[in-house]
Amino acid sequence: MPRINISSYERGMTMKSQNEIDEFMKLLIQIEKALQDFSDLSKKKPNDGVNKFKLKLVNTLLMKANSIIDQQNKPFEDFEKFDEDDVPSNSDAVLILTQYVACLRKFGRDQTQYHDYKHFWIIKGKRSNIVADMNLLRETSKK
Amino acid sequence: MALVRPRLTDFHGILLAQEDIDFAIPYLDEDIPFCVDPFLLWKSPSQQDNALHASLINSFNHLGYLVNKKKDDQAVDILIIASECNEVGLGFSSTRKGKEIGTKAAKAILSLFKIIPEISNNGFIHFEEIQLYVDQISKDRISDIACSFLKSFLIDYTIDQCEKYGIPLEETIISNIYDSRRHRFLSQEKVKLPLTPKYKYPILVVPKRWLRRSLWINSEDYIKDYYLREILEQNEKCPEKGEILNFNRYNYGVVQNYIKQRENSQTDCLNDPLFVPIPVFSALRKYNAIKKLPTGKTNNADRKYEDLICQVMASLLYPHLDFAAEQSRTDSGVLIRDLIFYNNRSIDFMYDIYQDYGTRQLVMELKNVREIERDHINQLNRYLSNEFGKFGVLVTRKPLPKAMFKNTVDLWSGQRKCIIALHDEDVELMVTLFESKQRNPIDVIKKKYVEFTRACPG
Repeated sequence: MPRINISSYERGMTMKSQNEIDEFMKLLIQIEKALQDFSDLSKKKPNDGVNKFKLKLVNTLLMKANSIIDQQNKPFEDFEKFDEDDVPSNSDAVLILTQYVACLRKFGRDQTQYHDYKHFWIIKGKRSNIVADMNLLRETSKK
Repeated sequence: MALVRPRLTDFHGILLAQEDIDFAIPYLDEDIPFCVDPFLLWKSPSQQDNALHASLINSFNHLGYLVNKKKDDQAVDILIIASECNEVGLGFSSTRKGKEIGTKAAKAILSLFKIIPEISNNGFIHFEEIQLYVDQISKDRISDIACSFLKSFLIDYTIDQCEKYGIPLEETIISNIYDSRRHRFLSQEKVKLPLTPKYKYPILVVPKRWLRRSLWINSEDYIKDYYLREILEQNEKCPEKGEILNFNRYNYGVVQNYIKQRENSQTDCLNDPLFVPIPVFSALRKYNAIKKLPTGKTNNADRKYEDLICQVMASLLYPHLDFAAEQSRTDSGVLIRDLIFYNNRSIDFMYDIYQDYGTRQLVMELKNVREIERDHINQLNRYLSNEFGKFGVLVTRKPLPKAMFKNTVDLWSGQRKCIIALHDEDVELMVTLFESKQRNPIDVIKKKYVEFTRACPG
């Protein structure tokens, strides 16, 4: 039997309010920026450890993402956040954040509906009149 | 097994890192290779230190007063008693016991009050100057004289610090405390001080801010940086040290110029830290040298590996673990080299290791082998007892083979002994963290321990 891809929307995972959309977009931007920073650090010193302060902030972002994203879109089933005892490196952070950015975008795209040449957010299962910024949600978003 | 190179605090199970406290933690069996530099008291911004220096100089100049009053014998006796202060345990001997100077040396020092009119009239401002006039006066002798004259203060300081940190005090009799009002040594005084466990000798602790490896005013520096440059004519042959000292006695002004120079450059005179970690650049270089070494004994690679790891680890783990000693032992006919660290439990991980495994001193066994074998683990296992507790670290070149890792897990399951292995990549990570300062290198040991516990059953 062929596998059917079911979107988050179709599974009933939809945004509940404009606030939730705003929070999602803020989180996506924050994780993207964190990814950029860690990519820069990783180019210089991929194996250098991430300090506890940065790790705490990254973990906060990841936990927020875990609470928004559905299980289907979660990058790794058994990864929740970094364990500071594992002394994760810059390249570890890049790997995980890249995955999260991609999955969050996919999740975001699932929450929109194309209509009249525009993408609109779906709120509580219905198309709203809030236009989605697809530049941020596409895989090759403009930096 | 007793503690390796026991320190006063570790012996009493008191959790203190040298970095965090005001005094130099004394060893119980040997001297700390530092000396009290009176110049540091003179230049100190602390009024208390300045006052102590004034009292010290006053006491020393009183010897001149006695000499001028023709009470030479009394002055000789005082100087001989002052010349050794075993209680502070500073100096360069392998035991805490030193020897006093002889009558001849004491007379040579006191003769300065007769030969040099300026000293006879005005006394010294920096009594360490005597090294510039008299031969065979070493830096630890100056340090001991200073400590002897300041012993009364040091007793109070020791009691104060010991009470602050809970170091046990016992009633004891201490001899030769200088009474600066009557200018004589009191023969015996009953006080409460920490004692050495074996022979019950009293111990005095000294503020770290007074300590240097060499004195600011010293004869080597005088000869090299002043006499040879300023006094000696070009193409003139450098005379013997004895001749230079003789020259100094009759050229007081020359010496005073040197002293003025040293006083003017006092901002450069700082106390020496008790442990100096190697610089980051040096750690990287040493790690690169380690990486290039072959495993085994080719061209003494094992010896070189052990030396490099010793230098790197002592610095990487400072200040969380104070380095105690590097020692060799023989097990089953094999020479084994270990690094021993004091576990001062300054971070939660080391506290847990102390609680769970009873580790008062952390032992690291160095193995420059291609592959860790059962024998290597057994050698360390046999060594893990008493003070070392049941936690040990193998520092080796490659990750443990699967069977050997299982062996360590089995050891934990059966005997609750924990052996973790650090290999080249872990050392590299430690060096990287040391360089970037993003995390503490000791976190890598914790990481390995966490990985190990995850693999343990239950």
